[in-house]
Amino acid sequence: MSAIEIENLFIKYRGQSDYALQGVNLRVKNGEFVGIIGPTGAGKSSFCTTLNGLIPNLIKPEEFKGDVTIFGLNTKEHTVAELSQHVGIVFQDFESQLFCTTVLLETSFGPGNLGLPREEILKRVDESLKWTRLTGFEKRYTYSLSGGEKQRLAIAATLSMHPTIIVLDEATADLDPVGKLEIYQIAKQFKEQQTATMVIVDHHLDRLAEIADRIVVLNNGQIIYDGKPREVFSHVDELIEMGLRPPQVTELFFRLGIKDEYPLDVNEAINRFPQNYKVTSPPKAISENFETRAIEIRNLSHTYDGEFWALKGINVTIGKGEFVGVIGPNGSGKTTFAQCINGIVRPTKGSIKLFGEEATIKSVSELGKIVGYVFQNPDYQIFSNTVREEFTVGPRSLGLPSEEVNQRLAEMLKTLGIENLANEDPFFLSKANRERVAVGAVLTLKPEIVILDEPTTGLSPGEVKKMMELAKSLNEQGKTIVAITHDMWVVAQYCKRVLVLHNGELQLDGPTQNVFSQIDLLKKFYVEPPQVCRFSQAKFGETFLTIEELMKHVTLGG
Amino acid sequence: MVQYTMYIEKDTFVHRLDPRTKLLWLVCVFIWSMTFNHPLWTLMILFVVLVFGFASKTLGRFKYFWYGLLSLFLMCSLMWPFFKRGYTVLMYFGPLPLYYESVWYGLAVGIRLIAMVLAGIITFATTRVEDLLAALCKLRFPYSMAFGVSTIFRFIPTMMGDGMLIIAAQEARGVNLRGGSIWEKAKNSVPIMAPLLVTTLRRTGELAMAVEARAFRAKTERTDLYVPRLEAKDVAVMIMAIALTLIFLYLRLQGYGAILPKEM
Repeated sequence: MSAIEIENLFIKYRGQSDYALQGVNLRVKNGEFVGIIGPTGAGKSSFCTTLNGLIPNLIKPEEFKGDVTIFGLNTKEHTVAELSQHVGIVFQDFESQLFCTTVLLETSFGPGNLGLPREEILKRVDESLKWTRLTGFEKRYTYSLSGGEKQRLAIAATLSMHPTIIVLDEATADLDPVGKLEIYQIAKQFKEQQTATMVIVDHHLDRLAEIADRIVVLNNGQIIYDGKPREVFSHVDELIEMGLRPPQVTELFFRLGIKDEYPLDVNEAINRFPQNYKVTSPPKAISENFETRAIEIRNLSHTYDGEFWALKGINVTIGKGEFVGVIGPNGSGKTTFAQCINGIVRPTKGSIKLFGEEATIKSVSELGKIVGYVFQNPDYQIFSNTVREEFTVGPRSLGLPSEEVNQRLAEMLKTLGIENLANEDPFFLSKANRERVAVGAVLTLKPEIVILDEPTTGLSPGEVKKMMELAKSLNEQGKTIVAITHDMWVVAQYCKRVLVLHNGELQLDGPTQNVFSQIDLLKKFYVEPPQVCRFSQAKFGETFLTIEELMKHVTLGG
Repeated sequence: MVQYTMYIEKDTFVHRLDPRTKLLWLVCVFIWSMTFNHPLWTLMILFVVLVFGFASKTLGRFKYFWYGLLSLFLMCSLMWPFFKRGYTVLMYFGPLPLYYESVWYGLAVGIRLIAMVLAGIITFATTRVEDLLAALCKLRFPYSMAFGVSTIFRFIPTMMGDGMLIIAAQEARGVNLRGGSIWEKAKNSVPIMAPLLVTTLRRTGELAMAVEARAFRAKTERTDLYVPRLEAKDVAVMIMAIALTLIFLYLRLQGYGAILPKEM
């Protein structure tokens, strides 16, 4: 019997003209590991939520045609509670999935609802916490856990129901690289020990490539490709067109026209890469010279509670017009560092000068005119009923005349390419567009320095690209950009200089090329440069940051 | 980590009492406080509450409540005399008479409120949310309702965290949140409350799905891990609380402990 059987599934939501899913057919064998990929709005989440019957039992779409059968149970005829003993789902937002006060209660919630005997529940709790490496956390309060721990707890709480199918719906999207890795390690364990059938939705195709038996590509509610990872990822151009990012080494082979099976990971690429390619010219390390000092930080230290130092004696000077990436694992002090610059955090020690003026004595709203700070969650910075209003609040509070306010509004709508959304309510926009609105709201103050705090989290690669292109164009206009991010390919492609923070200390600072060439050292800080960097280092002893750069400097030689 | 929960972890006699005992005690304190309106008598109730508080070793941790309690007390004691008519005129404020009994009455109400609020704080500071939930279930409250209550407690810290970030995020985009007048303050709350509401709303959707996905209300009888058990000390405290309630009610019916009205 198939674990999952989907036949001719159509879903249409109220008020939508398009179908979220149209004519999906899929059979998943027991024990299979399936990766689901696709751009935002492709229907991935709708697909996942049909598996345990949340659609159509809890969420009732206007139209639900076709059948979803889980181990012979048609989801239309069984309740979510029944189906949840077969299918466990973990969602993206780890906050909203945890609703009990302690780890023990959270993990025992499901089995408790099933009315299992006390001993059985405790046994399952122990087991699930062991799987997710949370043993010893039983009495901890859920709110006091880190993001990665919370997501692992969400998995544990699902595992305790003993599901035979586990669905991770972008469950790693909001996590830092360490958190992501931990989740993948757990998934790998499930696979090795054949614990369950796995369905994982993710944008990290290189990780999926390593672990999945099968990749299904959804676009516009339809299955476009379905096959082994190598087969599916060979459609490089089509995937990129959709806004996805196939593994870089796969793309490299494709671009070079190497007629061989495309590799899926770096080692494979190194072994298979033809010997007759040579480096014709070494990559140029760009070290920028700047004339004006935009940010000057001296001996910056900060502690929130007087005991733990989030920042320890940071010294750094950033020039006007630089594009700087700040990287490091969660808890390394990246956000504290950035928030010191715009005054949200008042540093305990040290000085920060912005264009020569001491910033630590100015108020946040005063600094807001010089430093724009875009938060990770766009919803935090948006509050007006229309995009138009959102963009005029800031300039008006500066006391600017209305012509100037309107001019800035028009300019900003044009820069962001959202003129058509001016009268829309931001609440109903997509996350990528809300992110744009938040950026716009900050930029209307015309700050010289723009800080982007994880602007790419939770966006699809295509959306990330658009966002970063926007930052790039601002940079070209002379703005100084400081971007905190976990996406190393974003750093490689856009940032000219990188700061690596770890344990509150500035560990590395230099041109991206130099920093990313120290692969072994970076490992200590949980930073893994993009595939193309690792590949070119191993193969040529040079560090190329992007595929384009590599192709410019490497040619077929005799 | 900032402490957002009211619960204070200590190992005291009060902490070890069954949540149901503490709930009964809380109800009794409310009844006692409402029974009397003579300040000396309500002071006695407050004293009982304070003894409980000292025994739980939590009073010191609630310093930030003292200010609120004091202003509550002052407000009551100063306002009530002007609304409650007494018999013996003390003095005149222009045409307004101030009665001796009304002043006493005001003091009594002030003390009464402090006793009640303090008893509530002590109960929550010594009882974990999950124990309270278990107690409510044991008292035959519908599970969905009890679950809802505990979920609120779970999300208070999350919302506080959101709130702090939102304030920072809004200030960073030049929204001035430090206005002067009350009107300005009300206007300033929009940039904080609107995003907080939106963030919470977005979360609620996924929360409902997550709860359902974990077999919520699958069976009529669910298994609770925490099953509160009444012990000898619980019974003793309960009997004492009920006995005191009966005694107090009897005394009041006999005409003790009331400043107003004069004749029963």
